[in-house]
Amino acid sequence: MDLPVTGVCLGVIAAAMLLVRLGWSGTRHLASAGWALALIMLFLLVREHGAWGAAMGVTTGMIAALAIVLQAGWISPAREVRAPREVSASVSRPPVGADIMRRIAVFVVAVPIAFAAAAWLTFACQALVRGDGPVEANSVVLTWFLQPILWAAIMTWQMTRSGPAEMLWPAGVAAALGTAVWSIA
Amino acid sequence: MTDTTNRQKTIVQQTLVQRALSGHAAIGLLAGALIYIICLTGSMVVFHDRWQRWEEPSVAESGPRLSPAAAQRAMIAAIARDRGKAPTTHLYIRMPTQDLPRAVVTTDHGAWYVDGEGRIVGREGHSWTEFVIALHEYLTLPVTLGLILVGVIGVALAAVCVTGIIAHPRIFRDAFRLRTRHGSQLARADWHNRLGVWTLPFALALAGTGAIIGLGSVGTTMLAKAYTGGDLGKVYAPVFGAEPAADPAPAALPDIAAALTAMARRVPFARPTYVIAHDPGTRGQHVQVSAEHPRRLIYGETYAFDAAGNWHGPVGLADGAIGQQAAASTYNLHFGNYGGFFVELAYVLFGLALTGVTATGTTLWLRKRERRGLRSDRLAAGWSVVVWGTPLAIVAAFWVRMVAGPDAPLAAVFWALLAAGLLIAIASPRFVRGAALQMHLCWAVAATSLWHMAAFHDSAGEVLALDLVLLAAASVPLALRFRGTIAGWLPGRELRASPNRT
Repeated sequence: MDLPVTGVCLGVIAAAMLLVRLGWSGTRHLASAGWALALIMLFLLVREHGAWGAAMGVTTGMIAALAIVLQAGWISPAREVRAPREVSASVSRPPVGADIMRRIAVFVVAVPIAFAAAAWLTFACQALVRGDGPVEANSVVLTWFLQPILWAAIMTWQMTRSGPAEMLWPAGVAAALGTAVWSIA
Repeated sequence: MTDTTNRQKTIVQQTLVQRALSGHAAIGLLAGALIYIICLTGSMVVFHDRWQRWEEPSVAESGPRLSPAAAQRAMIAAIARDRGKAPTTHLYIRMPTQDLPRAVVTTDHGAWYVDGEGRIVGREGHSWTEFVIALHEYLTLPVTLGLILVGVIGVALAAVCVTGIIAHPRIFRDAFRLRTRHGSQLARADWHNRLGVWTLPFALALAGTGAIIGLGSVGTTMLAKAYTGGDLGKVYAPVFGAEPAADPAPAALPDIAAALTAMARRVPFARPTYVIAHDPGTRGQHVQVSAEHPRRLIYGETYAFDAAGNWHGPVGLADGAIGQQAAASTYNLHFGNYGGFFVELAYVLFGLALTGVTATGTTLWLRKRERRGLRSDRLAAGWSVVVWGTPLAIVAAFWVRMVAGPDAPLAAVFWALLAAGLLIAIASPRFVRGAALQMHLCWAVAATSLWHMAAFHDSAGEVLALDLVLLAAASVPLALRFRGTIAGWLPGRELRASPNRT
């Protein structure tokens, strides 16, 4: 695929985002057609240029979408600004000891404990990929990639739990999974 | 039965949404200030070559190409300059590009610009640009510790993005709705959510690659302790190539001109970015040339040569193991230098959008608390200092660099100014007003660009273009702030106000 064809694919992705916009709050088929068109162009770019094509396609799509959103902001009609809601009387209260302890506990569970669980699961996965062989590129890079991704996933899961005790579960699951993978590695 | 099930489902969803919102806010509060500083400086760093040229506009340039013979002369000149000092272990020649048409030769003892003939023309002194890069990459802390901390912030950013999506179930439905003139809180929420949604792939890619780069040393150390007796080099070797054994016995300097000539013959499509001479002037010396490949996400391929410039082949970043290609792709994906000027510009805009999302997120949370009667004047003032004081302190650091020279302690100046601002915010929050700080920032940027244009008016067009962009960026908020006054100057205003108008 030469450069002009690549340019056409990128142009079609930008146009596809316009279709998505037109169909967003109107004809749903237009939005679906827009997404489909964008995905087809993205597939062509990836097939021809690999990761570079994917990055270029997604960047173009985001630029087009942001331009459409900014245009919406530009033409957004001015509304009469309502009087601000009455502010409740100030009840500023310093955090009590239990609050502070809870925050420290959340930090400990989401940072060092989640990190350790992610590191253990990562180490087990790379051991599984590496097998009995020497240190090689794929298992090393898997370690670099998997550790932060798993940590972010565990942290995200923890942050949808209601308290420090419940937040231990995601880390516990990751650690248990790591042990299971390690046992078969 | 269905109603009951649906209602139970809704309650579960609401609870999940509320918990996710709470988690989203918690991460934002814990890491928001550092995320903001890293995003803001990251947006600047995308154009680091242009900033370097802007910071030192008077340097004689080598042009966008450096011949192999000139590169050889540059190496010899740099080694000669180091005579009497400890032998350099690594000598780098940064090859010129269209964005930064300056070749730079760096040894263990310093870095110098060279002209098109390979002659040293001056010391590389872009310490302000380097300070901004350091602030982004490791918060000016000791490098390893700082990289790890920034990696942790990358993990937090990824988590805050995903919890943000879970916490806002309508965020995709309203993805094209931006009510900019509906009152400040609603407009702020719309900016936060719209920019957040449409930069989500960018934010996740950026957070992920940032975390991978930052935490890489932790994973490497773990593997080294487990498998190589703590030898980090043996872990890096399968990915980036191994270093031959050193031999300190003296030898003639390596023939990098031959290496560059061989490169041009064997891989004519590759554009050399760095030439590295390892242990130059010793029998163990060898040469590596790092070169960009067009239309690839990898930062480049590394080609190895011996001291005589004989070809030893590529390391495999371009077509080796998938792990090598993936590792080499993280950097360009993070810094946005894989598609020329327009991709860089897109990254700057996305980065500024992410900076805006971070700024508006905490502000939304503070305003919500205020409406509930939980005023946090000190926190709000402190946040204003972070949002407007950070760029203001970066501008101040630039002035210190201009007045005191490239050896001025810019990181210390920056952190001292920010700490002073935060202390004032805590001690007397009523003295800190976000709007006033914003205006100070705009005046500072406008004054800096005007001074720069006047002082370096004979610089290259690209340098002056950056001045104009800065001036325009600062002028828009100023024009909005003083639009009443400006309107008063316009003749149409007098006509409209005249009672005799017929």
